[in-house]
Amino acid sequence: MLDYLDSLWVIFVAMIGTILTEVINYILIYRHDSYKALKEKIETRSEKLLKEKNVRIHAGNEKSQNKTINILTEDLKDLNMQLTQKKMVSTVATGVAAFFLFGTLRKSLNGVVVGKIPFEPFSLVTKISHRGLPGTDYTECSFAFILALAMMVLREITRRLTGFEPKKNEAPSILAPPDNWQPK
Amino acid sequence: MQKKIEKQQRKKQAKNQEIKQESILQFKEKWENIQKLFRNFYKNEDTIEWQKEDLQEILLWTRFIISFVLGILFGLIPLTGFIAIALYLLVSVGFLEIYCRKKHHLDPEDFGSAFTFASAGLMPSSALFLLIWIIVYSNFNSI
Repeated sequence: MLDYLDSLWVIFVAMIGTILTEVINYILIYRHDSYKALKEKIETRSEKLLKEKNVRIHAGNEKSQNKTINILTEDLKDLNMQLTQKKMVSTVATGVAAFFLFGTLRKSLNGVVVGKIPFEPFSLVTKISHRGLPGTDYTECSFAFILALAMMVLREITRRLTGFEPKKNEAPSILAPPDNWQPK
Repeated sequence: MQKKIEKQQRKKQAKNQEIKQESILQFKEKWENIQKLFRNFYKNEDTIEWQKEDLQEILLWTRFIISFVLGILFGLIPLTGFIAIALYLLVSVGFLEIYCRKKHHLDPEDFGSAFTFASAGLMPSSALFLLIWIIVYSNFNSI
């Protein structure tokens, strides 16, 4: 017999986890002036890059435009790298927080069927969704799957509502090669 | 000495109050911005130049609403199996893609790639759909 309170409890814990993560991020990263300055730089550089790319389409002077775009792209990559480095400590801290949350739920809900999945999930998904549950009915769902889904949703909502992340209209990935790179 | 401590405490309190007001203001601004984006996307008849980040934001929030509604609907009917997932993707991806192209005459290639509209906020909104669908189905329909 499913207890609806179990799934609500998991979502509540996910909410606490997300708020805790944001508080940790705020204390360790977002409130510092260096982060605010970095965020502003990323936003202004990406806006400039977007403008340059639009101007490039209409103008005929491609060489100098390419040079400006490459400089801005490299600049943005460096800034994104700095951002990633700043977030490293908070990533570890939030990982530890998530570990404790998971442990808290495991004590009370291990082996308990929290929900019923309305389809037969893939084998990769059953590793999470059927975690700790007895039997072979893979439509039975454990707390781990509900927790993972809830954290994914709540993290995105919190991230969007708090607005601490920089707006990256044209930010390239730090792994992406420059636009004019050619393989040998 | 006492006066110095009191002065420092007052400064700290004032700074904390400032941070609190700043965060409330930021949250209000963010909320107003989302409302403005919704108005521009759904009600405004004028042609607007959309920025990638704003477009992704509005697509994300719309997908969240679609996911929430469809999750409850499919959980209550109940609609099970991969057909429900296919229907969800059809509505979530298809409707917004057509809306962006026909109503706003936007080309996803202008914003990065052909999948810009399809992929904006798809992962978290799919997670929300699955979550709501599972919870509603489990509590209203399964034994």
